[in-house]
Amino acid sequence: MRLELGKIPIRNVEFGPATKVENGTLYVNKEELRALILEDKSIKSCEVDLARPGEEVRIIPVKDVIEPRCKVSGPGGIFPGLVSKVETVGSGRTHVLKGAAVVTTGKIVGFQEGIIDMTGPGAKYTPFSQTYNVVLNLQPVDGLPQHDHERAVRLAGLKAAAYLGEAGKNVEPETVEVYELGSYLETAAKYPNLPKVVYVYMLQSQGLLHDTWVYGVDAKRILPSLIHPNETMDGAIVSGNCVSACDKNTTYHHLNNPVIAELYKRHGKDLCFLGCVITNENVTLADKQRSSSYAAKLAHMIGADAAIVTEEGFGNPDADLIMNCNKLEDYGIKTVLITDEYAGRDGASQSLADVSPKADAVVSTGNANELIDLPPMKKVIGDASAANVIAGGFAGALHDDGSITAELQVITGVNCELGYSNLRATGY
Amino acid sequence: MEFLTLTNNPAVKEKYPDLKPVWVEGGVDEVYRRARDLVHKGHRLLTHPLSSSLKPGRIPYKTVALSAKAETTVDLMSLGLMAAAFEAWEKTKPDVPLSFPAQVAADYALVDLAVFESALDSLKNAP
Repeated sequence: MRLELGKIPIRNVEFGPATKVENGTLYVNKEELRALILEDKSIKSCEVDLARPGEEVRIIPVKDVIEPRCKVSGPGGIFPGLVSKVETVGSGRTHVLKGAAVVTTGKIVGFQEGIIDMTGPGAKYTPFSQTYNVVLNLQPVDGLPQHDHERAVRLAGLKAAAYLGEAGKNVEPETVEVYELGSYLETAAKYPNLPKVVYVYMLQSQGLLHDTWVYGVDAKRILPSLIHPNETMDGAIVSGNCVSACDKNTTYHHLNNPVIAELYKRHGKDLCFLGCVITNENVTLADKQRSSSYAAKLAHMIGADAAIVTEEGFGNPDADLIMNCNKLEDYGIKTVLITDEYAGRDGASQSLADVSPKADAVVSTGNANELIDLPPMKKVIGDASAANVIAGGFAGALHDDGSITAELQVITGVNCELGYSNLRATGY
Repeated sequence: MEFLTLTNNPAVKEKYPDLKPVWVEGGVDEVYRRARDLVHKGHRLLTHPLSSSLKPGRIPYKTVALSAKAETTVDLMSLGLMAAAFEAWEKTKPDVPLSFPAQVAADYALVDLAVFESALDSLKNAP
């Protein structure tokens, strides 16, 4: 499978009479976009706002972040099974509006979370302070059940990203990256002396606001499966997941998975990248056992020598992470885990809810319990009172002047367990 | 399989009277205490005691499913999970007692119900 990813840099976003990309500016026809979103009769209102890097803007509560993309050639369309027809994606050519993002906000439940500050200390923690954001503030019709509300907001964000992505269809990209990986047998035969590495990609899948979709299928209903890394770049994996904002993979993350990018970069140099196994994080222990056994078996069947496992979320999924690790290691597959930590505000408590001596190579993406002060912003898109009840907040988190004291956990993407984050450990 | 449901969530009690959930008066820690006692008596945990990605000390409701039948031995994995859940609760419990506006409490009840429902098929189909 071969995919050309054409990147069109976006350096500004403005409203305009037609949606188009010109000289690095994304112009958005607000009314056309609103009309598209309001085709869904379960949405009562849709405000479209823009948030640029450096502006005194806070977006809260963030549900999802999505990168605008479009298929230029090759089978299928962006977000197959949800926005486009179900067709295998990941080959041909895709254009990306690099630097732009759709952000969805609007309260679905009272404790929803996710903050993006476009400036100030909070901005340093989230990569989405550096994107030119088209923000959709969505309100449902009265009495819409939360499950339907979640679906409506999720689809609205995807539709908006696909709509904006179309503006890049006939624009010449500044760079074109090529991602190509053949069958397992071909790939392994090509680099017989390099360690064969599989990526085990864990997807949160526990119910309302904790779900992920694969080609439109609820991930809790899948058995672990093989997926070509290119499929993720066309939106085969979509987030419906926003509780604990710091370590949830937004759809943007799934489209831009840095583990996949890095494995591609090193493919044929010091390792042989076989591909990805997707697996879920379910509620029952039997499901956890089944999925971890199945994922490890798939890794073994395709001949992996080593595995990188990324977790999504924390707490309950720590059990899945450790089961995956133990079972991969039992097959003799050397395993590296990527996870964040909940080590208390001082960082001194135990980081994970489960442990194993076999988890002897673990990369941390930071401590979500660390406290942070966020100054007031001139403009708030969404609902600032959400800070009082969101998971990382606590009573009194929102001060009278609009400033917020909360745990890092409230910031969208800060502890991303795919490593798409600004946090670094440095020696000093 | 037959299972036993422990809950302090009124939404679970109301929607699934046929499951005859064992009602627990109190917070998430009380549900954990009852679950741990049952594990000591030979019941096995069927669902993970931690709630998806919510901090146990910061939420009002929890539903846990255990095997209906008590074995003569204690399941060590269940015991370990309960110990980890208590530790997580201890670490995340607030300094002041939890209180939520009614709508937020109702939303927490709904999410716990949704998490429990996502496990129901597996629970019913398990050998």
